[in-house]
Amino acid sequence: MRSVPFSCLVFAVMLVALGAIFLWVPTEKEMGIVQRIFYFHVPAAFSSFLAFFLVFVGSIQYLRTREDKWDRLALCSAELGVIFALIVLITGPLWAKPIWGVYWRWEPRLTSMLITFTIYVAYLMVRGYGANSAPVQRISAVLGILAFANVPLVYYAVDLWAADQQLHPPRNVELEPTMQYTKWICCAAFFLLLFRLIAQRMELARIEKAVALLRQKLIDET
Amino acid sequence: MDNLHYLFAAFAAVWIVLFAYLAHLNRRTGELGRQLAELELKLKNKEGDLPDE
Amino acid sequence: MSFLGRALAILRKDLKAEWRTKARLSPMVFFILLMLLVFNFSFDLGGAALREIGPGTLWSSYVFASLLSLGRSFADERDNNALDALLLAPGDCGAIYLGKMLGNFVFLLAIELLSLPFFALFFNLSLGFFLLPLLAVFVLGSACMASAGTLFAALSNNMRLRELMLPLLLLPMILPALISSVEATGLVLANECCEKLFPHLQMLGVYAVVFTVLSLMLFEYAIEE
Repeated sequence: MRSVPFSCLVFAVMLVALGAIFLWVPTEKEMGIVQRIFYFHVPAAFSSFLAFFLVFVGSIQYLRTREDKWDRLALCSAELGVIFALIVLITGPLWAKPIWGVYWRWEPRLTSMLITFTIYVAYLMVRGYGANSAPVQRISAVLGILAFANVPLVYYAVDLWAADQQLHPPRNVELEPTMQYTKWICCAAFFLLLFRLIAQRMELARIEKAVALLRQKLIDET
Repeated sequence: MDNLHYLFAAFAAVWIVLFAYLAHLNRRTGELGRQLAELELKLKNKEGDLPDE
Repeated sequence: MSFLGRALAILRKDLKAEWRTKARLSPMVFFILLMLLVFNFSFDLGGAALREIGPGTLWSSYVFASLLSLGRSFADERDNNALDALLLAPGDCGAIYLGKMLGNFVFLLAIELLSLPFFALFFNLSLGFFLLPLLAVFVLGSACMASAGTLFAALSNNMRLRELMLPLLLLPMILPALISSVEATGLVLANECCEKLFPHLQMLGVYAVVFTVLSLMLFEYAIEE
């Protein structure tokens, strides 16, 4: 996924997505131009959940096989998931301010995204403190599995908690076809960017580990 | 259409977050390059020592 | 010994140790009393908002006390290297989790019940009528806290900065259970029973079951040296 053709594909789809957002799709009647935030707010949210799913897969596979590459997948996906969740959490309030009049409301979608975000930030903190030692990899894998299992519980609990005060559009909102297509193009662009960045980050992690091993070897020999 | 600046801010935020992340990766790559240079130097010194033994 | 037998043996050991030292119960109940004092001055609990902040105050103090108590649950084993011996015992180490989890559940529930009179006193509540539904919320809430908490205590046990990492990891994970506990307690105190209450209790039950099952599966990886 770090090949030149794949990178070109990512670039091309991102350009098409930009074109679709700003030139092709009609302006929404009620919210006006600010509704265009939707086309990167929602794909970013999907991407972050895809990344968290990859953390889950990587963690399970690491515990089964103990191969470094799965641990790298979990670590790097978690990092990118947090980055995309951050994008969701920043663009959301910027969309909310002109529409609801406030940046933040404690309502279900926002609250669950924030909780999910904090869970994965805690995961990254564990990784940050222990470099790449085997115990930290093992502990992180357990965390990666629990964190993903917790996501539906977070959503369920938060929905129960504030079911009656929802302003955020529901997940399955009806869209005009052009808007629907634009949304899917943007999702494709975000997913490709996500894969590209995860691949880049994994390569960096692989080299870091190799250099650390080499260094250790040299120290041991002298 | 006076909401344009919110659209701008949200769009800018996406770029800023992504750029900051890339800068972070860049810093780590730089650190890696430094470590590699250091290792090369050590290795060269070691090879230089060898004939004396 | 059977799986359950070994779990119960660990539970018995923990309860006996606690009975002799009272190292966890009495400090925690006192801690909750102190938290109440702090909350009183931060929120001015005397006013009419009591019904609204009451459940939140109650569960915030419980969560902080639970974190302290859970942090101790593997401390004695660690200090005396007894964990290695426990792990050497033959059989599935899920039994260690179950024993420890039941122990934590008993402690957390005991802490909650022992400090309940303080709440009743300071909040001017006559508990008699609420006691039964409140008990159900406490039992389920403690089960959630114990099921997730025991696994995270084991995880953070061999981490650097473990005192710091346990709350950082556990707090966001426990939030769904906390939300439902607070809501359920609020509904009980507002005298709204059954229809609205049931989904929250169900949520707590699901949480406890999910985390217990996952922990039984993952405990060997969490504790492995």
